[in-house]
Amino acid sequence: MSRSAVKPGECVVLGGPSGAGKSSILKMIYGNYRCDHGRILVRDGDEQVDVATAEPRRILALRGSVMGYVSQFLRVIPRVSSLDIVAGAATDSGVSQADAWARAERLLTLLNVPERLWSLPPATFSGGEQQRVNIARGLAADRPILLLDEPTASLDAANRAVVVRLIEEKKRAGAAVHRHLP
Amino acid sequence: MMAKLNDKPLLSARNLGKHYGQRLGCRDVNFDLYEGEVLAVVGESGSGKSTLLSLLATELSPTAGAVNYRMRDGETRNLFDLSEAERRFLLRTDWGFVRQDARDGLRMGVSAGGNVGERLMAVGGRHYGRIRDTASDWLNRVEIEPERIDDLPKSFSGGMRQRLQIARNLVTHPRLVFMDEPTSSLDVSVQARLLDLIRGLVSELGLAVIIVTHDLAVARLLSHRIMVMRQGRVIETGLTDQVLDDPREAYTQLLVSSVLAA
Repeated sequence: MSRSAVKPGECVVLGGPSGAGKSSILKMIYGNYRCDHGRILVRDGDEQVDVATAEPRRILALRGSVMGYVSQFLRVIPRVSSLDIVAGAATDSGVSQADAWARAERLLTLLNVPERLWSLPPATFSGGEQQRVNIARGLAADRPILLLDEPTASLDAANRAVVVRLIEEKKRAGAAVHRHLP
Repeated sequence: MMAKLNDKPLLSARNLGKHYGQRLGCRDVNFDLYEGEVLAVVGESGSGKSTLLSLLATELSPTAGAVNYRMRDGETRNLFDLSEAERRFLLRTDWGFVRQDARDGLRMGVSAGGNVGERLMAVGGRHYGRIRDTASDWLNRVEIEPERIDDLPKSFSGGMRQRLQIARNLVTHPRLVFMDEPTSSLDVSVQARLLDLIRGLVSELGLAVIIVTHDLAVARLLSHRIMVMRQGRVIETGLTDQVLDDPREAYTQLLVSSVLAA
């Protein structure tokens, strides 16, 4: 891909066979993989940041307030409950504590994670449950850019529909953000 | 965790090096550390990471370079130009040092409460009751039952001793904490608990941390940035997940691929 741009509220799909580099591109945007050449410009308020050359702490700041990333895999942190994982992702992006808890509960409910699991760390959950906690975490935050790497892979049809609905919700919120930022 | 992006570094190492006679400890180390940042220094034994930590904590004198530190009054000083009294004051108040072996970081003949209270007295705490209350509060925060306040660390398990070390170090609200392999002497399940505790406290208190570890999973869990050392030099540096997921140097690739899961 030589040149590409994404606007607020827009959803771009990277398609292609496995091994084509779809995930690598997302990881480069997120700063997880390095770029050998080229630029990745991300708008943070009035500033444009080139992820390809930015300092680590600049990228961390972007991840805090601008870019979110959801993969299929949840990296489990010992002893942190599912509800805390999801709510923590929201507070990290600047959402208030009370709002974060409400969002976390709503997302876990919508994604059919049984309430009896909320207080447990996801280490012992099934693969599908872990994936849904991970998606809830990715969607709990308020960030203008959301990078989704096969978010619905291996989900059943009902849960896939929920994820699609939640992504639509995010797109509408993104469009609203656009109108406020000229 | 990111406070302001335009603030000044808390600590800057410039061309820092140490030779033990002819033998190289480390050389040409350059980095900036900002408040609230956790930097992991990784490498195999003999890579120079412990020498580097000792230099930064002013336990060793460098043979080259400087370490600039922004003091609480806002003034930036080269640590190796400080007087002995100034250096000691930093060590007791603004810094913490969590050692691999708790026996090096604790006073084994002094009670748990005494170990925590000692640091408070060093910064001018005089009121016995208040010191005891604060110590008890900190024991609680590191998940040691307050009833154990008068027990000696000798009677504590390895994990409890490490948690006591953490309480002792954090009670004075330092801005910078050095950690030297804090979990490597513990069982895996005890490690997880300690790591989680450290992770929580570091983000809650906004601490800057320099942690030396050979365990890449520890670096992954705790740090924002990583420096990979080999034969006394920093060979690769960057965001932790970037260095671990997309290592540039062949040596780092080897390190990453030789662990079970990081």
